[in-house]
Amino acid sequence: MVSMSSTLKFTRKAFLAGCAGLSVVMAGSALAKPEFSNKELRIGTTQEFENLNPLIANMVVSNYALAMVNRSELVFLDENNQWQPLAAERIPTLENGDVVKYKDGDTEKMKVTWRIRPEAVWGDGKPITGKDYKFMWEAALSEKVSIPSKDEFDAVVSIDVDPKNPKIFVQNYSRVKWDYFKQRWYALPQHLEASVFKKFGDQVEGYDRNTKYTTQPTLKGLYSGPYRISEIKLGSHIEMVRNEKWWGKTKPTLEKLLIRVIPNSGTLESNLVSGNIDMLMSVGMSLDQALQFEERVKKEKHPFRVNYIDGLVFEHIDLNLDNPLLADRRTRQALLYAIDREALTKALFQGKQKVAKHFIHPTDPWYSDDKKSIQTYSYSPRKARRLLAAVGFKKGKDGILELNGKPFKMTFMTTAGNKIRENVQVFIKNQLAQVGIALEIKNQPAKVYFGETTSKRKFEAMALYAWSSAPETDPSQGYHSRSIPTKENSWSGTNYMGWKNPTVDKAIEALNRSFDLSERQGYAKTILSEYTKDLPSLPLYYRAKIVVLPKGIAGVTPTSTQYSKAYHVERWKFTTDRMSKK
Amino acid sequence: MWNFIIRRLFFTTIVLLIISFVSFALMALMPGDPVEELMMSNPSMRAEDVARLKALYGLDLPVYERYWNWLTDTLRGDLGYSRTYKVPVTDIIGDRLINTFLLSFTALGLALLLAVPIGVIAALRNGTKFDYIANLLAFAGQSLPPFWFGIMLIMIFAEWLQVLPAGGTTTIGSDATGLAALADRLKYITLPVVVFTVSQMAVYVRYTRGAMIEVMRQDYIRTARAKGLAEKRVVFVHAFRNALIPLVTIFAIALGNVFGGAIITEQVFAYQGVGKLVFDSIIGNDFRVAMVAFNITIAMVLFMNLVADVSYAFLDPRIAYK
Repeated sequence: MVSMSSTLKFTRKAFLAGCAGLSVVMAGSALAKPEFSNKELRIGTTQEFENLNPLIANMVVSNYALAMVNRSELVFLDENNQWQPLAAERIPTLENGDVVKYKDGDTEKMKVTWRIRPEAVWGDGKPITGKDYKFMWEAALSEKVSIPSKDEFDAVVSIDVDPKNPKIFVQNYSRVKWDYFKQRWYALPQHLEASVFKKFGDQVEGYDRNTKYTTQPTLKGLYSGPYRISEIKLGSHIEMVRNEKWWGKTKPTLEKLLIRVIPNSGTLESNLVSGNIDMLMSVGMSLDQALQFEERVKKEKHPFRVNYIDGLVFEHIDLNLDNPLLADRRTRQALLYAIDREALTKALFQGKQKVAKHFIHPTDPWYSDDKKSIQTYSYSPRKARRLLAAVGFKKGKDGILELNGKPFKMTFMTTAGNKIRENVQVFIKNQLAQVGIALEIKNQPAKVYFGETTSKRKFEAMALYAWSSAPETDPSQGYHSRSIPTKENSWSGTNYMGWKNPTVDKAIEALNRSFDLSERQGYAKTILSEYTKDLPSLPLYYRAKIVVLPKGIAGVTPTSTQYSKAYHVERWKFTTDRMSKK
Repeated sequence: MWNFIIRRLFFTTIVLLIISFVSFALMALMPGDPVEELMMSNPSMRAEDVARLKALYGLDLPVYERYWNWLTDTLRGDLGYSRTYKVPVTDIIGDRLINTFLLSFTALGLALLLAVPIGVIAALRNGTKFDYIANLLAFAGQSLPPFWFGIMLIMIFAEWLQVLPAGGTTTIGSDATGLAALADRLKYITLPVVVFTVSQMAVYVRYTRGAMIEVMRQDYIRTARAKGLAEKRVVFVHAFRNALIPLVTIFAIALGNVFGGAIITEQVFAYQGVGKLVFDSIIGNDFRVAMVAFNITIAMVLFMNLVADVSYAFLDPRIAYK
């Protein structure tokens, strides 16, 4: 047993040594508690970002960071949802003569002249010119560069840069296009990137792999915003410092910005509370987490504000119109009458998310709630029963409605594991059961649900999910009958409902030809009128954007569109010394 | 022995090729492909965009042809391009692999360092208070969900005591070098290592204890004692060496699981490892990243099994490879 005692002693020693080591680490760490500085802001998010080449970047966090470091975009939507010139001096219009329509044979074409601000320069002092936009367009059109949609680029057949003043360039369009100004055209610094494109542009994804945004991401000349990248680590963080050559009128107050990826929302909250991060991006917390966090903030007096902003994400239920039970539009109307959406948002979201009348958000210029055209559906189980009876549904023995002997039973699908959506499903299932409709909840992992079930129209009846939109979004992809995904069109298009309405098709086509906003509003009203009568999908609510801000910060104006609050990051500042976190 | 090792290495290569093809084919069978993923986030994509990208990514080719392209690229040293991060795979996977290995091997080493002596002592003191406590702690360690345990540690050490960071890999923007850099690294890795060690230690305590109890009942132990050998020699030379055989097997299997096992810990602590990257790459159809991770895992499992087989011969002279 002597040996055992010595083993025990050894274990005890090892344990004590371990404790001592841990104490040293902790003591060292204690000295390195988060330091609070009014000159630095640390932003947390749960989502990842990618390479920040504006032609290639696609993720939400990348676009957020791009708004801070790249202001070569021609126009943007301000916090009041108004289009404003950004790198451009003014927005070209027919009225100011910068847009010219002309006939070429039978085809109507147009020229759009853009004038870049004289003061606009890259971070290395080189001017931003039409050559940079032309280079970006050439790269975008290359068959070897991997960008999702070329729609906004291939409508332009050539670009002429003014040889006398390269700050002016003309886009020659092959057809007239009313939304020419709201395409997301960034410039690429051709003085840095042209050589890369020349060397690798003929290889598959050669430019994508070798762009200096990947190989030398801290080069000053790649950026044109109030900040530039000083350090970037994919999956971890983006560190930004002030751009010495920033040409905007407002000079940034904060010296340093940091975006940190913390994939677990529980850890994200701990980082906020312990002072390792100061605020969250809108993709940081889900609504239920934000509501819980707000409670905690109030109870434990943490120095944060939780803001709920009207978002443009439209949560709805797509109905498969090929299902015989859903073929009659009175049945679809009855479904919406039978769901108390006001009660749903109050019960599940404390009323923070607004009930949707249709797929266009109230802040969109195309929105309409004109009672003459737009049919609304306040909760009325009585109306629902009446409509179902008119279709021919009769109560069966077990209380479930029947049509020609077939019970009104349908599957209701969404993404498995999404707590909020699963709660919505249970709420709706209970409400529809009250009018005699039986739903079977059948959820799938997001990958299968979006990868196969919705995109290939394999859902039997009801599919709950959301679309993110932007003001004046072309409704062709979602609601035109040619956008019904089929094998023949490689499953492109997002008219998953299978909605075919000739009036809507014509209105969409006319809308896309019109340069006049009031005319477009008229066509949009026609589309919405048909949508609210036909109900190919059931509108539920618009998702709120969650913004968690530290107390004492000023100038942060959350937005509801894809143009985030980061588009005015230069106005952000701390007005008071940062408080202790406890 | 050398013949055995060379033969095994040859078969390991064949198995690696077969499994890599199977995993490639299985990934291709998964719902959605990278272009369909893009369509979800870009509803404006047209049929011609879909066709163009499928051709560009080679998704219009049969699976065997795509596999051949991947294999030849990999053998040339080109690991490909990540569709998620839009950078070459080598740019994102290198540092993360090192981080995961650091976390996994530190935790594995610590787990063995603590679990083996505890298991041995518990076996030698079978039925005593020490044995019961060791068993209790082993069960507790095995039952604690890592995500819950991780969050608890964060709450205690980051929120309340504020002595350790709530997550991350190193201090961002820190230009520390030498010992200061090591201390910084230690500060961030401490909590993930604790969580990972506790979850693994339990298994090794149970296995070591079980194996030692079994061995200590064997006739040759009684013979060794009857010969008058010192207890230390009986325990460590005669008993422990034999008890190591099942432990080596478990250890070899555990090594193959370093990516999968670290996913939750890495995610909770926002630790820059390869676990989450692998998970995301599979979910996001990022073939090239996923294939690198798959093949490292497969190679590690196969290689560690070879190492385990060779170790058996050293541990037990009755085992010989011809």
